[in-house]
Amino acid sequence: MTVSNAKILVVDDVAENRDLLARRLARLGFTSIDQASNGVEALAAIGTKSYDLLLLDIMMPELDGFGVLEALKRDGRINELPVLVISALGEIEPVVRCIELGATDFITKPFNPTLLRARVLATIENKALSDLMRDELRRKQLELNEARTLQLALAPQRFAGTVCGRALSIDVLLDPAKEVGGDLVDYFRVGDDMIILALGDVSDKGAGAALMMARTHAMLRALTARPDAAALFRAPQQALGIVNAALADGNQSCMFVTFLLASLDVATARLAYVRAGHIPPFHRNGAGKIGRLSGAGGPPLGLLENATYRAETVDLGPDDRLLIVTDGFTEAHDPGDSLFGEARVEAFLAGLAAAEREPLRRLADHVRAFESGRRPFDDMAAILLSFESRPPS
Amino acid sequence: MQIAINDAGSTATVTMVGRLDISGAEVVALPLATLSGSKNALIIDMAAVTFVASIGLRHLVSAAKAIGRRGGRLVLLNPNAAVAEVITTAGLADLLVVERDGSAQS
Repeated sequence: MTVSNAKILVVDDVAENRDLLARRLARLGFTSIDQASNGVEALAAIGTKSYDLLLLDIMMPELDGFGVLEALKRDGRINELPVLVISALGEIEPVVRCIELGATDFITKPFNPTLLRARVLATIENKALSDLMRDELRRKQLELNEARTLQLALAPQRFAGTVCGRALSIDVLLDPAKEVGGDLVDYFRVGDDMIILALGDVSDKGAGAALMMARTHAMLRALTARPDAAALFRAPQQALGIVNAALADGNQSCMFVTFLLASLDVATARLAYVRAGHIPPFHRNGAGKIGRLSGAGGPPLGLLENATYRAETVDLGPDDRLLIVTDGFTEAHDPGDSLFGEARVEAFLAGLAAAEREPLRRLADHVRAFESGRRPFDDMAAILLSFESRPPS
Repeated sequence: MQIAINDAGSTATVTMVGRLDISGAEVVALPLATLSGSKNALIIDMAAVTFVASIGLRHLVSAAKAIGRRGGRLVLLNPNAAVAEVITTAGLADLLVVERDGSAQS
């Protein structure tokens, strides 16, 4: 928007005043100038055309200047339409009230041409700048929303069914603290009898972390296309070693990914897992006892090209639950700086009923409520594997 | 996060006070990068650090690797038990060397 194409509405019940203002504005180079003789006409004009500046008289029949400002304030348009109030010399109180209602500035009658010029041009310039910023913000927000949609689509849907004759369910959750985040959650089948569980957490937040997350995810998934995929994932330390070497190559920023990769042989219910700097998963056995899978530790992905990982195994039984979370759950803070902590996660797992449809959403809501209105502290991702003693309905 | 730096000589000591979270990491990022690129040894006094998030670990690792490439050494001095556990759980105990001089309780 420039002086030549800025759209101005002059509102005054005295025709001579309107004409005088319109002529002065035309002399400044403005070409799109409309007129209205009272507040009702003004609001009707504003409703059909998007103006860049309103010159508004206060005392008018039908609807006065206060009424116009109140209407603009009510529907929020006052934030996008600058208003210069026209007042008689010496009227202080009405001008103050107009400015409180959202008017940008004022000019006094009789009009001083130099002052009129300065106020109108400054207001138009500010409007052009704020339009530009608003458009830029809107564009960035649209881009971020699209990135968020794409990222959330990387997380698979919940699964409940029978694999190799075993009834099981897998619940997943991905909840970035900002529009996009650095947490990663996935599960997939390799061959007929193997389910891979993957959970990662990039050591950062926002767009940079999201790129790292997407890269890590793509590398992991690419391994499934290799002819030796079954062997790589049956020994998950091998799959993780390949991803680590690729991420660490030339990683000057030292951004890293803590990762938990597990492969479940469904037929034997044996789970092999590797923990690359990730917090130990929570395991609840059929008797309700909670333990942690704290073995198989190694450095996070992306820091040491030659890092070697080792896996450990655990045999799961009927009714067992395995919960893998990122530290966005355990390290969430309340306003008093207390941690959500591991004990609350354990309590959630202990109290889990078999019939619940989306338990991880409930846990995430609990964390956000714990933060009680603070900005979300961190991204959250989780995966919950449940063996069911009876087939799910 | 507040930091105090003593960089007289070839060894620098950085004393950190507060939370090494996302905003704390912003405070320490530049000093750590500068010192790890110029000093032979970097001692980070962690006794008064109450919390370390992974982004904070990232800056410590970055400094440790940078100074290590130049043959130097970075030491984390007297981190409290919770902070030390975070370092161990994150699998970073080999990269981030923890030392205790006995003057602080852990």
